Amino acid sequence: MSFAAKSPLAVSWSDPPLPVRFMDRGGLFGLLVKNAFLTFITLGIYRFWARAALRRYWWGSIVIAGDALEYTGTGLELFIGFLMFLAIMLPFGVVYGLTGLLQASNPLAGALLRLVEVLIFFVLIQFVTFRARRYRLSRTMWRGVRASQGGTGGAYLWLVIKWTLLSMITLGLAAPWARLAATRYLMDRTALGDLEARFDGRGRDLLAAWATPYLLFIGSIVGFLVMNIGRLGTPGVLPQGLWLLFIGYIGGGLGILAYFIIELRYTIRHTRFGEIALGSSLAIGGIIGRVVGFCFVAGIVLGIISAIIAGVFASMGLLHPAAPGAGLPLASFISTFVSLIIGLTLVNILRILWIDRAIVRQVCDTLSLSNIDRLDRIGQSTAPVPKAGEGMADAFDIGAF
Amino acid sequence: MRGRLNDGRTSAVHEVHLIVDPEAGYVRFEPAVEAAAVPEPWPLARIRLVERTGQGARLTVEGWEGARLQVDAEARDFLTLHCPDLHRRPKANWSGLRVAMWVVLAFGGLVGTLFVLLPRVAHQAAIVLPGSLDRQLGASSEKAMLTMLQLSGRAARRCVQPAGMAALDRLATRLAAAGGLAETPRVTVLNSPVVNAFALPGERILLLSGIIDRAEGSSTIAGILGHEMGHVAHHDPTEALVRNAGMGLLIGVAMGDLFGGSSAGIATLMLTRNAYSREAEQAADGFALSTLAAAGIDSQPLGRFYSRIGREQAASGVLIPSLLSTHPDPGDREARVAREGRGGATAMSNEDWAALLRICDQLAPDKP
Repeated sequence: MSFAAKSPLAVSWSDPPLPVRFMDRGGLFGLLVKNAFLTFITLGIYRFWARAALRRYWWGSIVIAGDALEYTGTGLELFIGFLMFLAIMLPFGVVYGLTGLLQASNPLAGALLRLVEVLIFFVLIQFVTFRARRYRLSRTMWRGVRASQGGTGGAYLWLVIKWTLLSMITLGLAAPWARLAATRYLMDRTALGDLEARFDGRGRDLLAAWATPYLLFIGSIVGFLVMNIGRLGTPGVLPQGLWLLFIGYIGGGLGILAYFIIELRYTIRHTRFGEIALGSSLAIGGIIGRVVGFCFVAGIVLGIISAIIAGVFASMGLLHPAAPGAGLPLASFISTFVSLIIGLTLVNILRILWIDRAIVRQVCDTLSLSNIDRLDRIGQSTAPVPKAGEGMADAFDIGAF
Repeated sequence: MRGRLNDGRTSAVHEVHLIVDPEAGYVRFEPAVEAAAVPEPWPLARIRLVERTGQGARLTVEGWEGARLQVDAEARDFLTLHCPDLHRRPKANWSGLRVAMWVVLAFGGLVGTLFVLLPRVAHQAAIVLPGSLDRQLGASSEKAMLTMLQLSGRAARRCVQPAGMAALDRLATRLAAAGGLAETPRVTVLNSPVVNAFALPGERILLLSGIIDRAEGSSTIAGILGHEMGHVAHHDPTEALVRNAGMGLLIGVAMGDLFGGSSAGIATLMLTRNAYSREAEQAADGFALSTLAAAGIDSQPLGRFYSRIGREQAASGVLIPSLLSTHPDPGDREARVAREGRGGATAMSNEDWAALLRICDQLAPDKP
């Protein structure tokens, strides 16, 4: 076993050695500020390079048996993927706009076409979700060995469509099965070098975790309807039991958050890479507490920004009477826009520092591996490497990292 | 010098001593552990820096996938002396020509869509949009406008003093008939000190009371109403709404996640910036002048109003160059009124004008 502590050049850590650790490379705040600034002054073009730099930070901070992951993707690849998306999507955008015209003169045909477009959109999003994962894994390296995602976007898409329909028929009750089916397809075709992953999770194991928020939502809505059944259609009468809806939504929201954490832990526990089994002792409470706290802070920041925007409108509208018909003065338009961007950027930075990093740290530090000796004998991957970045996924912001 | 080497074939870690041989142009590796396999030597000319690390650096060999060598600071500095191309970037998969091709395609398409396709689509859309939808758009734009005025500190309320409303209605009906409009647009006065007026989809016109207070006569109001009726006659408000919504969407997609899902925000802002092209403004001015002439109303007060506004804009220090501003230069507008305008009577009787000036003495309740 060539374990970290023996080597002076491996990343060192305290005893007893954990196989996986989050070891902050440092400089995240500076990186985020630099990214935000350059993205802002380049009108968004820098965002591809910003994203690649951020990924280098995340990957480089995850240390497995003494060696950090390495992200080998570049901003240029992401940029090219985006350009391809733009060139391909523009005709689609024009068709989308023309449908609006058709809908105006012929509502039925227009509505049908719009429905088809929405379906195409859904299909495209599944497709690019798969492509984005394949790209990211192909740019992930550990000890010089590359990760890979097999399978095809088409097969993944078909699977998701099937399970989405089934979820809809069962009013959402089949959601854990649907989600795990997608996870199984992806995981069973994931590999690090020649070490292939296997996922053996079953939807029924997550039913209890899913049922809690599900019943809270449904129960509060049904309860609310029952309480107001006699009052429907009577004007001027306030509905009773709004508190029931309130509790249902807040409780259901927290329940869904807890479900996602439980599902993540379950997915880790039921994944193995060859002879190496993964384990996790991820706790739920800490993450939920942080997310709730963050929502409060983000609300306050956005509230302050709205107040600033309102102030700008007030001064601009009164100080500079515009010519008749000119709409808003350009200056107030731009300053509104800028304060909106600054506010959202601030909230985004806060989220990464406070939520994302804490979650990644907890997931890593609670992860365990069996048979770690096997880690020294992984052969290089022979899977093909996609050339361009994930383009459309970037445009829709799929995949947080 | 010690190093931690991965050869790119397996994940095995080779703890090695580095032996740099500049004569042969290679760095050889000697296992630190007895009887371990000896890794292949690396050619110095092809060694590249992956990144500097806290301890030293991580290196690779160009063209040798997955080869990685972690060295300490001492070894890094030593190798820097002997590796000529240590800092050369690894060759990108993408040639400059192909990148340039995609740049041209993507941005050509974007610019073409924004400035050629979208305005035409918007123009056609405004013409074929059925009246019911147009009226809905008008109602929602009026609400948006009220919200914006509310944001600017003072909640704007509708002015409903009956005598003033009747006077305004009479003028609007007369102008619509003179201008050949099929229907008389609904004119609403809002209580706001801002000097402005807007045409909205669904044949609606909003006058902010600031413009009445500063008009110095009913003929100016007639001219401004004529201008906004010109926009209504040419479907400009609907066209601008469709065009700006499309622009907001496209720009949002192109700018991506810069603001984290802000395309909706941009689209909304675009909606509120209800600007028309210079051609549309000139056409509306022309409509106003011919309508005033047909109604027998003196158009010179309108010209004086434009020149007053122009002077105020200059004095306020936010002079917008005429090419950048969406409206024609006030001086040009004044000159056009002098050139093409006709003389005539005042637009309203003295009683009607006095009533209009007092239209905001009575305000509609908060929620219209």
